[in-house]
Amino acid sequence: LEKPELLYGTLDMLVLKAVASGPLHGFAIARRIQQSSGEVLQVEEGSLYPALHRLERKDFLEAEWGVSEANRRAKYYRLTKKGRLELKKSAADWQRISAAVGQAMTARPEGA
Amino acid sequence: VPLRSWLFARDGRTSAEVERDIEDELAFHLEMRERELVESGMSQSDARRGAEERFGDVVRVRERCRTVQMGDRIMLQRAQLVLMIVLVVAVLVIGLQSFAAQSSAQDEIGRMSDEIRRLTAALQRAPGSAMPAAGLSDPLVGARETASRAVAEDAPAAPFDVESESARWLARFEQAKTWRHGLALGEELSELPDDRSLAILERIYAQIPAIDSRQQLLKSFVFDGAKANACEVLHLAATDRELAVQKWAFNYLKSFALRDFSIDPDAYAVWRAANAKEPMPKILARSAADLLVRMRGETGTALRKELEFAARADLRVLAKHLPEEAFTEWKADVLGEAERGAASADGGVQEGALELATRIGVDEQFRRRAVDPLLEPGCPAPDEVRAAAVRALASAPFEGQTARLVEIYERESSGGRESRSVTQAALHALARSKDAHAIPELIRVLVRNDAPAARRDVGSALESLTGVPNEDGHDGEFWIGWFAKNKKRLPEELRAVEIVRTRGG
Repeated sequence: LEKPELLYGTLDMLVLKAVASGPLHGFAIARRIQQSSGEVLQVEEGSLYPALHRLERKDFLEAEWGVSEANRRAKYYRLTKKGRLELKKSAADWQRISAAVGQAMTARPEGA
Repeated sequence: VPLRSWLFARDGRTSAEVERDIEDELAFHLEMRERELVESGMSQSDARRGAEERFGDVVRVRERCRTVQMGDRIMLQRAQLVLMIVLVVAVLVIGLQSFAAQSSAQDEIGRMSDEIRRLTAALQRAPGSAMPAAGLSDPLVGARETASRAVAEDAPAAPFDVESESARWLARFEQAKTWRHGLALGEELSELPDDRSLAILERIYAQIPAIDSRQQLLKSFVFDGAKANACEVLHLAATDRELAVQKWAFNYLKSFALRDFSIDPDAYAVWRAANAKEPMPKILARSAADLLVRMRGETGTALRKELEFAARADLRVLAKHLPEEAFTEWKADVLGEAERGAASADGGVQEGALELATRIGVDEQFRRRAVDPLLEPGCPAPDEVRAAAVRALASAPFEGQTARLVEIYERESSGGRESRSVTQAALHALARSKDAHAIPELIRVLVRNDAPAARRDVGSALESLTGVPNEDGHDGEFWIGWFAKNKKRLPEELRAVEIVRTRGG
């Protein structure tokens, strides 16, 4: 089954959400997004890492090198306080937009 | 952008470390994906390929990550590079200036030392001198005071100790680091009074280590009409151990021997035997007479070579050292030979003769007898000969010269027999004449014919005369407008000139 592409602007929010419960490396973040979306969303991996670095520069994430479950050196990203606030704001925006989109899509045509 | 991110990495990492971290991070991702695919049943190679395909363009992703991480620092690196280049250039310029100043100061110190030595010697000889010869507390002040006294008392010049002076000059030449130093030392040496420079050079020339210096010092003896002892100095160079130095000597000797020894080195020994230690006027009179004899005795290619050679001789040397009457007489004789050559049936001889006449200075007789016939309409002489005739015509001013050159240009650029070498010679002569009267004449030429070639060529001559850039070639209309606007800058008699907008042909 073909996976739908992520909506523009949602990757940052999904990344922040993925690390909200604890530090993860990039591969785990991609997998977390895929799993938590019920295997519907598949992150374009080529976009993931620039997004991670961008969020790190914005101080929404902080990174540190650690050892992975496979005993390999891996870079772990952790949500910062600033990132948590950003996630809260993004989530609220998303809720509002998705509700509005849902409402628009379920509304009956006028005069029907 | 915060200053700290320009100066330091956020986490203190260097650029190389940032790049290595990106590399490791992406490699880890690919390895994890590959492992996942292997565990799902794929072969190692298929899994590797699958991981890479899913990831996309690794190089591009790496570059995007690098840009995100180091964007500011990339700018900083570029700024640093530019700054570095500017600094290197500045250091080089300062270094060169410092080197030049140091060299200049060394030369100045040398000159001052000479002066002090000479004046101290004068002081010692001066009657009633209160200043001891040695132990001067302020040598410069002492030297200047002594100079005043020595001049006032008309004291005799300091004795010239050729051996110690030669040693001193050799030491200075040994320190000459560049050809410029050799040139400067040669200039100073050539200004020594009497024949001291020759006495010194006879002792040290062969020991001067730098070929550059042995070449460069010759210039001061041969340029600007040459020093009286130039041939003796050139002999030292002509017998130098290095061919490169000999070559310079033979080149300069052309101006004194009026012949080229570089094509016949044996002839130099003969010439030298006849001219060694002879005074310069005598050497030149003999050379000038020999040249005339050779010209009279030669024909064809040999004559052409003599004519061309004479045309390139440095006449300033003859003008300076020959008595004026002898020089004038010699020029008249040479012009006579040139006239004979110009009438030759050999184009090469004609060209050489006209070139020589141009150099010597064409008189009315030569112009009438030798030049005018070659510039008659329908003259069958080759274009190059007629172009040489135009140059000869332009070499000495005469009444109606500008109009004549314009007429030649127009005639030669139309009528189906365009000769570019002749038209170019005429325009070049007009451009060089700096005669403002040529301006309206040339504008009229353009009004009659403003074909692209004419705009370019005539416009180029007008550019030289007016200073107006010709660029793509202005047409006649432009130049008419320019003339109307700029009449006030032109000579009085041209202000009434009107250029009519008529187009012929």
